Amino acid sequence: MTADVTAKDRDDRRARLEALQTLFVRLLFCDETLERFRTEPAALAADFGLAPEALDDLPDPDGKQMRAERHGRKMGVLSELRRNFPNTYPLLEQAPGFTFERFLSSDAFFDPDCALPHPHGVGQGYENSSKFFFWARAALGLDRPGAHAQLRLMLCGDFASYLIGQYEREGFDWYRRFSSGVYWRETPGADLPLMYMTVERHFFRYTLPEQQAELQRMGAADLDALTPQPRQRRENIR
Amino acid sequence: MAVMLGARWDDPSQNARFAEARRRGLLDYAEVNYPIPWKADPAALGLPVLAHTSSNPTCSVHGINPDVAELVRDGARAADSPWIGEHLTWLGSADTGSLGYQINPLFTEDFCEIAAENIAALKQFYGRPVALELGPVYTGATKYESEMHFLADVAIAADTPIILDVTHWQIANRNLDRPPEYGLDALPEDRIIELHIAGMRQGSDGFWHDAHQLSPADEIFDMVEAFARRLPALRAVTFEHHGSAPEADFYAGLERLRRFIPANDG
Repeated sequence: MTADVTAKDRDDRRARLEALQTLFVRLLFCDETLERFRTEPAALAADFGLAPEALDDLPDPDGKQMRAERHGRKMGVLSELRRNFPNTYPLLEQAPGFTFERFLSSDAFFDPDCALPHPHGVGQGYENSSKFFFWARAALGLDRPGAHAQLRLMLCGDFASYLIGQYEREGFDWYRRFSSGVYWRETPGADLPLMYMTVERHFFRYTLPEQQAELQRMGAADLDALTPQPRQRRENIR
Repeated sequence: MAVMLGARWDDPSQNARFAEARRRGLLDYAEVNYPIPWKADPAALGLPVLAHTSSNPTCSVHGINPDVAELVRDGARAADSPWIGEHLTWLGSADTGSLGYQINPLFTEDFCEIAAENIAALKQFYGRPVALELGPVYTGATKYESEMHFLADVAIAADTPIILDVTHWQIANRNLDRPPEYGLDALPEDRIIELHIAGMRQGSDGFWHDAHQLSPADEIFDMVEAFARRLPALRAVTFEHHGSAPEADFYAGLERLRRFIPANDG
């Protein structure tokens, strides 16, 4: 009986600390969460399964230190995205429905299962660029008929170049699949035309079925078929 | 035991400057920051290796991703590193992955206990000592006297040595409006086995940041010199300087450190 109570206490404590960790990390990046912390803390705590007094462990949301830390962390992510999406990002800033904060508030940003494996071989979620690509493609409707053509072209082109770059830098073996270049459909849902980027970053527009067959024969990677990769789940060390 | 002078190594783009620094007698070791680029080989540096990582969230309630820990362990084993440097940090809210720069944990008793448990498990997994380091701090402790007291308590509870990153420490003191010497008396000096030194910069909002692309400030060099002369357990001083920063600054920083850290001839 005592052992059961102890185990339950331990589980409850762990659940509380998981919730606190999740909430604090959200606060550092997500403006919506921060605003709720300011205006309805008890409701926010309840949404995370926490008692209101648990919020005493968190820093003052309006303190100058918290403001500085949040700003620095956001700039870190933004810097990574601007570096890896140099042609896309200026367009995105003018795209209706896009804000950088929307990405930082999305579940995808916090979820390693929405990412590709890291080139160093450490698994999913150790970079933000692949999460951003998958999020933007879906959230901005760039994977559906009627997609904004120029934005889709830039997003796919930047990401194709990024993926090829990981292969070139001898990223771990998973990245070999980009060794023959990357292609994607000009218009979602239509097999042709295809846009193709070679490893040398030469760029072609293919309109013929035999060209499509040739790309598949040589093993070019289909970006439209690329999705976040399932993880090999192992028990963490603790 | 003599103190060694080394520099942080992240990838093979630094190999040429490491080779030159070694030729000039400015390096006793390379501190390799694991995980390293796929297929990179720090043994090519021809220097003893100290293993270090900032990729394990040692304070996370979720514990530590074994895929990362294995890469660190295998690198440390291949190099026969005498200890492995680890940061007291979170990397995100999930059970794996990193959202970017290290995230300081909530400095509370609960997370002190979590960190001590994780570090104890990690030591066992590695089969070698772990030395603990703090990152720069922007937001102060909420349920602890300070992050320095948190570090001391985790180190004692997990029985580990400490890496004092002098630059991180001074950044924290500036950002939290504390005097330069604040927090040192919280640390058990006989556990401080290694020092880190790097540049820092002040942002437009007045807050200070780690800046490995810059040379360390004079006062940081002076602090490191004073520590090198008096800390009883000190074994290593690591200069952190980014591979894209001016090469001349790399040698100048090492030369200045070498003035008070004599060469180890093996």
